[in-house]
Amino acid sequence: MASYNGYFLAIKLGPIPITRERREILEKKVCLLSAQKICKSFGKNNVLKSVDFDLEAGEVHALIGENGAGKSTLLKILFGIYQPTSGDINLEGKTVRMKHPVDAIGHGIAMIHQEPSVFEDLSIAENIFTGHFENRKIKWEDLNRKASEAMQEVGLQFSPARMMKGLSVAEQQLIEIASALSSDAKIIFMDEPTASLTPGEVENLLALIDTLRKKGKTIVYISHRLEEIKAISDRITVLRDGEIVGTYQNSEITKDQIIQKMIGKEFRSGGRKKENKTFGQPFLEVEDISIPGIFEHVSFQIAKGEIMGVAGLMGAGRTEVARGIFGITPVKSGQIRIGGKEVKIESPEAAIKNKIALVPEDRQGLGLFVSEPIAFNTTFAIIDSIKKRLGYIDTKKEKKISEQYVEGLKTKCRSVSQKVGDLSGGNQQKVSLAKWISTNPDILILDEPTRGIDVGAKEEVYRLIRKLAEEGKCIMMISSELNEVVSLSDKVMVMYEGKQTGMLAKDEITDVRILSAAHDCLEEAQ
Amino acid sequence: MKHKLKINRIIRPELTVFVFMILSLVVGILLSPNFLDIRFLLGSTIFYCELGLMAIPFTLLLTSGEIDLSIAANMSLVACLVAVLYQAGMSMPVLIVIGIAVGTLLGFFNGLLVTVTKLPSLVITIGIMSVYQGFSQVLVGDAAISGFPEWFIGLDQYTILGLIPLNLIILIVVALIFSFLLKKTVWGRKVTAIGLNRGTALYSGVAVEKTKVLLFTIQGTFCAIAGIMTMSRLQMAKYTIAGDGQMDVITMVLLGGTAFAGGRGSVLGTLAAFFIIVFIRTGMRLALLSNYSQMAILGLLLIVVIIISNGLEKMAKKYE
Repeated sequence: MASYNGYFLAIKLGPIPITRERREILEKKVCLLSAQKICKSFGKNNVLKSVDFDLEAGEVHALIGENGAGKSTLLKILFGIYQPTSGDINLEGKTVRMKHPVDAIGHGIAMIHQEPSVFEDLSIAENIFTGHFENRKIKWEDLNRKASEAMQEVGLQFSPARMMKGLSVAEQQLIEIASALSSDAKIIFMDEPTASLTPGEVENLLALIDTLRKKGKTIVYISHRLEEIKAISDRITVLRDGEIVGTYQNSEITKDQIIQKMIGKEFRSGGRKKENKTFGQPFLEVEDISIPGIFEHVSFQIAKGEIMGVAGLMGAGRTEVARGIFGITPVKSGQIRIGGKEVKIESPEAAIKNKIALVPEDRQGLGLFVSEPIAFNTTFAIIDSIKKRLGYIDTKKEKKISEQYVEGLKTKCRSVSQKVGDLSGGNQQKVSLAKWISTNPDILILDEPTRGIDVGAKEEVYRLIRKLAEEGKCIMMISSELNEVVSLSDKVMVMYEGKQTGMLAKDEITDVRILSAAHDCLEEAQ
Repeated sequence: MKHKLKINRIIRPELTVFVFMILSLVVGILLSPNFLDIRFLLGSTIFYCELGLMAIPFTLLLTSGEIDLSIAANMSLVACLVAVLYQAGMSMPVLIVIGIAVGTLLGFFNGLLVTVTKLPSLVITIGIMSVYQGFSQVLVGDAAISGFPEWFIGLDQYTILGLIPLNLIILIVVALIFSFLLKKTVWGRKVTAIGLNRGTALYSGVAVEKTKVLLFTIQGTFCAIAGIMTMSRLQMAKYTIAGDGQMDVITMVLLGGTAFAGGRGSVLGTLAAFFIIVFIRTGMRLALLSNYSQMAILGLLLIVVIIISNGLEKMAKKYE
């Protein structure tokens, strides 16, 4: 219980009280880093349009905006990964050019990427000091001692000689922060550091950020999670379509106002309908399925038209259950019945034959072929049904089907021959959804359907999920976003370390119950 | 807008190789009047047709993200086996069937080994290459076995209209069939998809492993056919009959615009690259260049073509 309570505290407390020393630093408003009239275009695409951005010493500055608003691009320019098309960067009053991340690191800037970029086969100490080894000849004792010190600062207690492999994403991220600290970085950029962390880990990270700012570090923080941004930042800059909407003191602006500024139009934070729907016979029945060591004794039933949310922490085995049902790693024991008939699903082909679809979480790695056109992706799962004689692909039909889905899902693109990789996250997800909806499945498994997509696109995905349920599909939705689980699900299965720790009926679905079950303490909560 | 779309359509990975094909022909004509003799030019393809034939399924294999370095060794082994069994008194028509079956089986075995162990095919087939080479030497030693029946030898001497060698016709027909398979059919798209992103292909219900085994198996079949065709042309079999043929094949396939990492392949590009190699090798032979300098020049050419086609691809991206 303790850990998630803390998380909620952090969220509910709002901005962390400002100490006297910090106020002094902040009140001086020393401009540490500023960017003037930064423009960046990729081909015809103007990603940043004359952006002015300034960073005051000692602040936590949040950047927020829909996907494609240019947040990451701005940080990447400041860090020297991209070169601006035009514009200047000033560091402590002097104009600097960041030709390469090495320059930025030399100026005391560090960047924590969304996906930790680590060397899995090197030791923790080597990872921490990569990029800033002090001597040409490495003194191992020295290095390991300093690595231990750096780890202590971020609250880790591993042996510095341990290999990076096997550390969780959160731990790898902390190692990256330790690395930034050991390089004496004054400014730390964090690009969606919490995107793949569990609530407990998020809480730890926010606490660490607070400690860092107390030590006088300046932090730029990108996140899609408004709660975190409200909890941790001093100032908030909102970006929209490559332009700065404005920079605000945290205390001056509410969450709803931020959302409004992000999407530039009125936004209603959707209240959910509480009516109790009744469903018919269970269509998908899963009974006591296990893969030893991964998940055990999972049972549930979903009727046609019903949405079952699946909640739990990262690594609780939710994705693995989905992969088991879909035949990627077939279940070792237990029964799966579809429409009352027992089925054996040993491969994705078999799953597709049984009219099951899985929209995986990892869009780029497992969901789509990013280098290929929208049409190629949309029809790939049904490609066998659009062939003519000799397996010849009916390209006209392919184009027609893809255009229907682009129109139906309002995917923003130039044409269906545009590469999927050029689309924003939300539009990529729409193509991924279209690919699976086109198979006309009876059972649709969605793994984190709104990960990394912006508020507007999220709402569209929610509407789509509701519509699919109304059409009579069984929907199993794995999600780490509590509000979407709460607002969409007709029932919720909760998992914890490979076990099923809760099955909540519609009227039992609350944040607290879900989180309690996700930490395996549902009984205590009740 | 329209103008730019056109540029995109013209700039393709295969473009460079077609330009170079014409260039090499022009240079050849400038160097030697023999190049204007169409019969001589077409006749000179027969020395490379067997390699070209192996390069066709190899294009698909590489497109799927796999490689087979044992192809030349497979080819030699089949040739040596057929020769030894013929000496032992078996009939040649039966042996042709057996030879093709054995080559197919060897390819199937490669595919199985790669998919079951989940090791890189580059590593597995380096090992397999030595194994097959070793077997060939055990079978025939240093001897060159000859004395095949009259009807079997000289397949390369048959021509259509007294002009185009039969071997070249076989190569072109096979290339057209495989090009259709790769570019226009569902199966070809699945092969490309596996090379683009194995994970997505798997999650989309493509039988990834089965497809890969099938590709290795087809490769094996064509190795065997190439081996038997070479025997017929050289009228003998020896363990060195295919030499380092896999390198020539890889050169052709890469020159033709197929991506080494998979996901992009062009059979017609491979065919064009085949002609480049024929023109250049023939041209260099006429210019009395040694085999070694020929190799060096072909190596340089490969690098230049890949650099140029990568540059063009980047340009095409800019136009998008």
